[in-house]
Amino acid sequence: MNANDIIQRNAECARRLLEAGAEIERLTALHVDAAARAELAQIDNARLREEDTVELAKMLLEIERLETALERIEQWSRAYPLTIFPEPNLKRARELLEAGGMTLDAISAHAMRHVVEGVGEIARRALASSDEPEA
Amino acid sequence: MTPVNKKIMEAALLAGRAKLGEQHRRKRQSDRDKLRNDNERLLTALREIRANPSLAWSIAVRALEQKP
Repeated sequence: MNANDIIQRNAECARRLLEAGAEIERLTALHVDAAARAELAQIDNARLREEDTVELAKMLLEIERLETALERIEQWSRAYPLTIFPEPNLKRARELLEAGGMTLDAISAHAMRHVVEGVGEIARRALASSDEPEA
Repeated sequence: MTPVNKKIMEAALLAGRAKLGEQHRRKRQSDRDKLRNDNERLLTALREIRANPSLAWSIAVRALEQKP
């Protein structure tokens, strides 16, 4: 091997070393990039989970509010039990009312109007808070 | 650890996270759908009551009984 060969061989070694160094740099950069992406994805997932939790909590509160309205209506249906308010003698009531210049129909209509307006109002209020337009 | 091994590990980690993320996403979507259906059931009942208050009690009882 002459001096020229040795110089060429050294030059080839140096070139290979440089290439290997570049490859290591490239792989290291890829690794750092992948780690950064994974970290970002994790942060993004956590943010999405938080947003979802808030959204689901809002939906649950809305459901609870609507259910409360329906429960108030249902409770009203049990407000006048026969054990406390036995069926009246309607025939006698009619006679007494007519003697006083009133009709049983007027009293019945008044009671029904009170109930129907009351439950309608509970439904309207619950729907108004849900931005529900009046039908 | 060699750079190549690191790359393989990172790829496996990313794939694992993607799979977990997809599972979470499906679960969240399912929760959301259930709540939307529940909300719609209650809104429908209240709309019916608003339109026809004299049937309020039977509508309210039916809606509350259908609670999932």
